[in-house]
Amino acid sequence: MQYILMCKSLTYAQRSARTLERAGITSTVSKAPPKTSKNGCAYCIKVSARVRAEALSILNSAGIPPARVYRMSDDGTLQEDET
Amino acid sequence: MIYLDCAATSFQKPESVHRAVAKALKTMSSPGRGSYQYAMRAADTVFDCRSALAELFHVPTPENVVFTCNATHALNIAINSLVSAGDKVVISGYEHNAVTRPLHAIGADVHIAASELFDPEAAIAAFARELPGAKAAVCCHVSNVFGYILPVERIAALCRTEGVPLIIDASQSAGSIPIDFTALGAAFAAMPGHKGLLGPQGTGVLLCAAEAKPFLLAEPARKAPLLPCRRTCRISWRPERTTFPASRGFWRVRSG
Repeated sequence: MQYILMCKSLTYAQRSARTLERAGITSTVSKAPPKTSKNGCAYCIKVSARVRAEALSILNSAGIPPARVYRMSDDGTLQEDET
Repeated sequence: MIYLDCAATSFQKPESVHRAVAKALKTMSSPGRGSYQYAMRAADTVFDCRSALAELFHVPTPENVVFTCNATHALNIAINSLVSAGDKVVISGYEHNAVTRPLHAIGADVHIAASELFDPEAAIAAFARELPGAKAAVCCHVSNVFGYILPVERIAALCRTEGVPLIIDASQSAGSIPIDFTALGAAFAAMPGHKGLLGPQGTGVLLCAAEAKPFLLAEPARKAPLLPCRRTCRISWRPERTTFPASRGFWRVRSG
């Protein structure tokens, strides 16, 4: 299972990924899945479920919190994570 | 070779710039156009360059570094972001056409803070005289004609005191003279990528502390560029063109 952290732009996604990288957390920058974005051109970073809480904490502390968070199941199903 | 036209562009770029441009052309597509490896490699490289420029010029975040076609494009974005018809705008007596022509085209009420060459105290006095009531000020860091280094730190301080947003034309200084954008407190600083920063022609940078408005009507090429959700603070995307130049010597600024 992965978590998808939606970002305001590609640059924000890259900055988020670099911030996590410096904290030892691996993430991947990619286009956001179509269902998560109304206009189809949003970017996100993907992190594993294991580091979700830590990643969110780091991004919040860095002043670049994700716009939304989705949980992506192994079968690709998406569910917004509001916790 | 002895090359004496550095005010126009740098020539005989470092070999690392040649290699980096060639590598970009071979291995990168356009950033922000997908998640496939060539697009992401381009995006990562652009971001690296954005970050390096932010660090070099003391810009708080990479998002505030905008890539443009050249300094003229950057200045046009900055001027169009701050100035409307009839606004009082103060400029030094040493501005390039890339400043004066956009101001004329907009219909700004241009006031020249005229002073003698190589007399910084006179320049300060002239700006102090003209700034009250101005909507914006534009000042080059170094004159492209005379090489005169204007006292831009003190002019910036005057602008802060008067509450006048300042646009700095750093075309001749960026990469050659240290610039602390945050300390200056300017609204924008414009520069080419191909002079002191040693990148290829067709590259420019706009450092932004104020909201930059898109200048070319196709930028960014998004489906809904004017929806309210796009009016937020994603500075680095809003005024940028949709396709970078020959892969973007920009980030090659870094390798130079």
